[in-house]
Amino acid sequence: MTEVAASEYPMFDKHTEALEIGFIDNMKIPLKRLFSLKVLISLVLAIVSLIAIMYIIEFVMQKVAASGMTINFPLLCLLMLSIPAWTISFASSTLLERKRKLNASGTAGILGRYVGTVIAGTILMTIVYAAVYGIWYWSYGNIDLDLVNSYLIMVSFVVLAAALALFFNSIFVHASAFTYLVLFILIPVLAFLIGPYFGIMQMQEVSSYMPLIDTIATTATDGFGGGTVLTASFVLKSSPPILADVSGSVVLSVGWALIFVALTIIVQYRREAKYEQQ
Amino acid sequence: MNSSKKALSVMAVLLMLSGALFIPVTATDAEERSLPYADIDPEDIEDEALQEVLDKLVELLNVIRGEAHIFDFTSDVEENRQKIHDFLEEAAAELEMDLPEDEIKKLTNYFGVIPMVLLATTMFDPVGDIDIGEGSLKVAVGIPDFLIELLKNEGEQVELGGFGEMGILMDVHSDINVKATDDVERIGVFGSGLITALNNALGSYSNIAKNLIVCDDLDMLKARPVSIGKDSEYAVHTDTNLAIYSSFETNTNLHMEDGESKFVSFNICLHIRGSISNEMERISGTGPQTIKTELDFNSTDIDFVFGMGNLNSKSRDILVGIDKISMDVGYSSDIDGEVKSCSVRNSGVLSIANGILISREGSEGSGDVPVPIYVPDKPEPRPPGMDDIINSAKEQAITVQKFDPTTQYMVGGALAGVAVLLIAIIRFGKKY
Repeated sequence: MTEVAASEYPMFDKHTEALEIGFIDNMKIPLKRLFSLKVLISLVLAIVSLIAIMYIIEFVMQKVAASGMTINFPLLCLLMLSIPAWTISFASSTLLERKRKLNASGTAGILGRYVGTVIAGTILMTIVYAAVYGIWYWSYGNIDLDLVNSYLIMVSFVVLAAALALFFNSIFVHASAFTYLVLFILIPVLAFLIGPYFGIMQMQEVSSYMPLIDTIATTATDGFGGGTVLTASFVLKSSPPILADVSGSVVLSVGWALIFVALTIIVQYRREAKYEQQ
Repeated sequence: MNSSKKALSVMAVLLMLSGALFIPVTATDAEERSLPYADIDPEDIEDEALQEVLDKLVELLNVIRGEAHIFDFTSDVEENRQKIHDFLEEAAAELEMDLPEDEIKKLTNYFGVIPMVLLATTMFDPVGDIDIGEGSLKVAVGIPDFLIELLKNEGEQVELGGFGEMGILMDVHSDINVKATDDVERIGVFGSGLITALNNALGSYSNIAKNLIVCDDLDMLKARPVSIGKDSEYAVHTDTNLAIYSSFETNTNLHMEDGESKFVSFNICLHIRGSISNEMERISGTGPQTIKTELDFNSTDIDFVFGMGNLNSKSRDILVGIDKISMDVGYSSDIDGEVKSCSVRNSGVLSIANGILISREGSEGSGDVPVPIYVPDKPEPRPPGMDDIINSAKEQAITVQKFDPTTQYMVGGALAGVAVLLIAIIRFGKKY
């Protein structure tokens, strides 16, 4: 584990600071943050950037079309992937808030903060999700999608992203960047290596053990797949497509999420124990 | 991180991820770029043989369409043979072909070697009569007139429009003796050269396209060496269990009288499930004692669009779109107990392609466009019996992609259990 410099993580002083460190207190922090001006601004930015992404891609496509060939790909996958991206940003920022207090909160406090983040993240995600559909409908005039199943996958992804952000927050300074890296790059690359590249596992087995972000695009767009790192890596070595089961993916994501919550509690407990000893 | 920074970072992540999608464009030299079919080497496709088969198929489709054909085969092989014989006689009469009795007999016998031709070799001819075992064959072809005319390349004016469906249910078992017409050096799947040719052609077009279809042993699919002497005789047993469903739909604005750019497009779906197997046992001559081949269509679902736009100008657009391609086909061959198998599947890369629309602007038109007449959509009345066959073929042939979630449940559940245990230990044991 990375050693964290003491100055970055000053310990909570129980004797001089307020003792609001229970489950409910911690749960309220992310929820309060949800209704802050900052989040409102970032929501607007989220929607603006969704529109911007659509225009940028259409602009690139037009440039390509000038050479005589047009390729349109399912943009929706990309928009769907923006939801976890925004959720990670939100989760890590709420977890970063009053970090010293979180560090002193104990199991109940950490669980409270986590539950609060998941609830607030889900609300935020629902808004972005609705925005994606709204923008899509506004530009293309159709919604040919599996609404309920893709929503369920998204919620389970919030559960996982929040847990990862919580865990990385307890050991790294740039937790949000690290969560991105793990979810969008490291896990897909690992899946590609043990899957198609070295042939240790079948793609079907890989998606049975690892929570893959591709399942979001796959489920949401009824098998369209996504322009993700894993799908793109199939260019290097081809592989059968990624399949996903909605309820299975939900259970798997929640399982992994709980592991990271437990790890966070262990890390915090050890840190506190060390501090108490000194 | 403040909000604007956050927005920028989210966009950066997304654009980075989407970058992968531009590979086919940037990796291709503009001068080399051409539509896939332009590069197919005719030798690879067994051109003539394939063309002949396709022509025959179109003729046959034309004869059998618009009517339900049901053959119930009983245990009486003579009677079963007669059923096929009678059908062919009828078809020949309708096609206005003057076929002598022994030609029809020959064609009836060819019915029993189709699986062999498809799965092993074209180098054998039937000897003696075919025995068809218990089973059934149901065919309902409801394809519209225009499609037949297009396929036959006939007619200056085509009546476009409508929706057509086709369903075939096969449960056919047959036995027949065959004789090698020449020395046979290899056995392999008929038309497998097409897959190689397509893959090569696509490969020159883009890096991604090269990996569209995954076959773990392409050489085996194409050819396995054998050495069968001329005039060697084999007894062939075939089993065919197949459900085939196909549909065609036309979209066009040709019949509309506004100034819009005219287009016509066809949506074509093909679904196949089931298996074909072929067993050959040597009776005389030289060659392996037994040859068994089998083709399993675990799932074959193809759904694509083909069309042309800008029809009223001389430079038309060609449009090719893939709505869905999903394929899982297994092939195995067993020569004297030596078993080899391979599978042909669509690649994960193809899942990017699902939904892709490639259009090419400014293809040279060959003079004036023969203006097709558009017939508005109206369901063509089907004779009784056709609906049943088409519907049950549809039900059986379309694959619902299944993913077994048991492992996911187990892994997820176990992880959750361990996590809860760890939390409980810290909370109640260590009092944190």
